[in-house]
Amino acid sequence: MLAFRWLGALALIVAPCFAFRRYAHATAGSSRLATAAERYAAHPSAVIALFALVAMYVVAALAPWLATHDPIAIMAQSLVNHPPTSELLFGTDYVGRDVFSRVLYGARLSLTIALLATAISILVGTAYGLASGFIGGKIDAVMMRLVDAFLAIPRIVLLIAIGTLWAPLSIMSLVLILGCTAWFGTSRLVRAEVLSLKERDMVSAARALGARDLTIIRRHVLPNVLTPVIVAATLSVAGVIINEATLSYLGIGVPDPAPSLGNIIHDATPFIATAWWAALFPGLALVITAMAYNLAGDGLRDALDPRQVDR
Amino acid sequence: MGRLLTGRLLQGLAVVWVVATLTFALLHLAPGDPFSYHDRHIAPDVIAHWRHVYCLDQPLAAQYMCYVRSIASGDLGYSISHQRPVRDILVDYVPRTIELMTLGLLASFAVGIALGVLEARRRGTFADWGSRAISLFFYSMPDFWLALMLSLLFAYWIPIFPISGIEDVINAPTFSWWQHVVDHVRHLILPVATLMLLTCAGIARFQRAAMLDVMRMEFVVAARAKGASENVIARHHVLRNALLPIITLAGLTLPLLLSGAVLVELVFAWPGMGFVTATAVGSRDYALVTSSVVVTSMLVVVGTIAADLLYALADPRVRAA
Repeated sequence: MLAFRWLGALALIVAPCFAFRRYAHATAGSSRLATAAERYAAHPSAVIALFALVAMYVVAALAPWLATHDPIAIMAQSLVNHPPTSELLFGTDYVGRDVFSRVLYGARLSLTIALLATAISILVGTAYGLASGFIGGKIDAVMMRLVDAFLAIPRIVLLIAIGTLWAPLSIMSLVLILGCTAWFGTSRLVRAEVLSLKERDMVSAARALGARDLTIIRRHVLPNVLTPVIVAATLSVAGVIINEATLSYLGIGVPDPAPSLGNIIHDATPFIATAWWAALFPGLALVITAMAYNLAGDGLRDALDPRQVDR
Repeated sequence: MGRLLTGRLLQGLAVVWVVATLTFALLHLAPGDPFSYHDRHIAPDVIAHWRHVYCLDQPLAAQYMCYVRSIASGDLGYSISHQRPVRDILVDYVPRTIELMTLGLLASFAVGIALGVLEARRRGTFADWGSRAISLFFYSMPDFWLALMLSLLFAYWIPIFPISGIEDVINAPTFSWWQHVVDHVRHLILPVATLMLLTCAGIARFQRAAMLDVMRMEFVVAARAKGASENVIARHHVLRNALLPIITLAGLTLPLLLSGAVLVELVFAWPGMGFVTATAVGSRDYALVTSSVVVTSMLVVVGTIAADLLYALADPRVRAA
């Protein structure tokens, strides 16, 4: 029964990827989107990354149907720190919970947190960069020194400090904190783009025609800023996933018994010498996801930004 | 050149001041203070007394002035959790982090540049592809997990390196000086390897792109037409020009390394800044947390300025500007 469900999931993973490749080849050149898709599909590594991401998200979304066990149910005493078998694919952890099921559910939580946090960071970073670059002058200088200061504190120190000071974090506040500490780079990027866009003729022309600031931002600045922001967002999801895992690993992120990829490793660390499986597999899931996001970001950069020379 | 430096230093000073203020705000906005634990053996008036000594019974603005005054007079305060002056703690712990970071940075640049040159010269081959895939694989790893896996591999399964710490606690008193050195190096290898693996991909990628940029230039074609061998071209013509931009990357890699160092220090129990900061936050040790965060940000600022200066020194075009 479970095997059929996995076959169904496989179909859900493979179908969109093949659909994308067909779309990319069939419609090449017919629209901007199609051109971008074609350029993206030209990178085998980016296509593999897309495949891996779709696989991670499908498996994570369908976790309740694909898991072999209950992720928080404690099994028999004899199944504590049990090595992997055909029944318990990734073994069990120190209280006797199935690591495979915990990784599936953990991926679900980690990926959701990362997506929400990235959305927050992109919104805040874009708004901040737009405001700073567009207003200019002294306010811009002050706003950018603030960003410099935040960038001078290692991100993880900031996260550990906030996480420890406001000790038991709910999942929503975790999302908020991860989002609010990830936007500094984006705001710098957006500001730099806005500064160069501001000097373009189209903006002077719009201003001469009597367009208001908000109109100029919406019509001329935002669409041109979007491309680097999309690429930065894709790359930053990888960082946010790792930051969430780090916090959970330190015991200040997602609280037990709910699994996240980080806190499964947290639980496994004291027993790592004998029960390595509980630390290895969630870590591999993290690496694969982060690597896929990095590769997909590179592919997107090449696809969306024709100025970049193809290397 | 001098004006550039003073400008950058002033900017850096402003950044450090903002960091100090931010840290102060963050710590004081959070619920609780160092004396907010419940212990019925301590009389309330004793706690009130200590709150008064540390300015904690005053409004936030007055506390901030108290803090600025003590920093300005060179007094970094007294650490409540360590029961020692913060300055003494920093003198102990900062050099260990700087040691780890410097070695990590050097290893990362050595390996990164070597990989980048190799990838550029073998561009499009299996070696190029494989090297990029493997370095990206390490680059995408969570710092703590890589540290854990390395210790699992080289300290538990193949026990050739110590699991954690800075020296062999049991045998250290009997060591001669060179045994101390060997012991210290053995303890350094896994943490430095972790930092190197985490950051070398970025450097390799930058170096590869720089090499490919230079390879397209006309003087390379001219050298090739002259009959210079590929090895000579790569070493004397391409690498010399492609090494310049990599200097700017040193400043950018520094925050990344410091972040990594925090987790590496925690996993390998390396008693450095990250280790001290992370443990001090838990006990609401205001003086120690603010000082160590400020020192960390100073490392980043000074490192960035040093990288800019180095670039200016290395490139006459920038120096003239």
